[in-house]
Amino acid sequence: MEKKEVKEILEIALFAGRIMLENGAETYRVEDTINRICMSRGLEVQNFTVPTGIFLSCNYEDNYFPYVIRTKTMKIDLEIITKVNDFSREFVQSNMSLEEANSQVEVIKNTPRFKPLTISFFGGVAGGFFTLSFGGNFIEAIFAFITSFIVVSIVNYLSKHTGSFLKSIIGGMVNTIVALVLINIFRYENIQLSNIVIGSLMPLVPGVSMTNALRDSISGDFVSGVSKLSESILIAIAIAMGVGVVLHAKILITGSV
Amino acid sequence: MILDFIYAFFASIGFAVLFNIPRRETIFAGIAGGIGWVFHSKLQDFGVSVIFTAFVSALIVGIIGEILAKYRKKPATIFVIPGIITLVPGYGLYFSMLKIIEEDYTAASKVGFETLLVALVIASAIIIATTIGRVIRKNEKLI
Repeated sequence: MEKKEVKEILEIALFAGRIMLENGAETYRVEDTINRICMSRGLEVQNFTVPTGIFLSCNYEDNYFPYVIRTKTMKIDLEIITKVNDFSREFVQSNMSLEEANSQVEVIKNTPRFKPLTISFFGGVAGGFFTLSFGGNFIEAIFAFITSFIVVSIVNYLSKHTGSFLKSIIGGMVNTIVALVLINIFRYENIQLSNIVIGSLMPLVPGVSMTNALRDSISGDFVSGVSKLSESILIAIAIAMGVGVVLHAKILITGSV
Repeated sequence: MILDFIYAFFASIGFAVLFNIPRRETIFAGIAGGIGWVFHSKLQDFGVSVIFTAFVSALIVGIIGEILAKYRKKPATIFVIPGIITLVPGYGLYFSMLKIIEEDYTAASKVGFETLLVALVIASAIIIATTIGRVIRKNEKLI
């Protein structure tokens, strides 16, 4: 193999791995994909992936190819992960040319997401039904739907401009304010603030990333485990701060919760 | 029981869209989440502890995910992540942080420890399910 070809294979593997990592794939899956893509073309690589970067080095006929890729964005997009998974399976099992592989990954990278309005709507659906399954009544569920809809829209908009900490503080604040406003406008009986807040916060709280963090630690990826755990604890603190600030302000203004 | 299923079904579908899972698979993710939550609420009614309930329900969601992965030819994660969303202790994590901010450390440590344990048993249940799935589909190359 030419030196240039080795480089191209490594770059395709890294490109695929990077897309997976940036869309919330587990680190073991990213490592596995990169290793398989390289191995299928006869390259032995050493690869170490953490949630914020990929380290890869390859020694081919006394030529060293070291790579460090730093990734930042953190979102979960399972469709892209599935597509890269399918792509790597196809790449490993066939003699796909490198140009074609490159163009396929490029197409996967630009997979369209749902429209923002659809995402907000389903965020509302999730919040509303969570309130119901936690024992809230139908009016509380409708309030939770509206609250979640607004919060998910705002958080989605903010994610282009701010990091996850500030985003979560604002999300928690907006959530509580909207819930309080709805309760005080309509003044139905038997409405509890906590039921609405429980349900509508669910799209924000980092339950999945905490579970994934422990899953990584159990499988031996301690660095990813610890970094995801600290991320989820920070997000939880941020949401609690947002909610806490609004509740304290309300106590100061009205004298009761 | 049917109501439990319906509520969790739609909640999981909502999350499936938030996580952008492939469009044709959303309903299956909803079914996984619904069944998991039915087990969760039934076991709680029988007085089983919170931790064990979470373990059993997550194991069931994981196994359903593996079965769906085999028949829909997709990685199991896309069914498991929206499916466990009703079980994961995100709210507990938030609640314990809120209690810390309110300086109620007793409640915070109680809820916080329970949250950590629930997350731990869910993670181990998913790992067990994945291992079972891998044994069943020996020929499959990628996880």
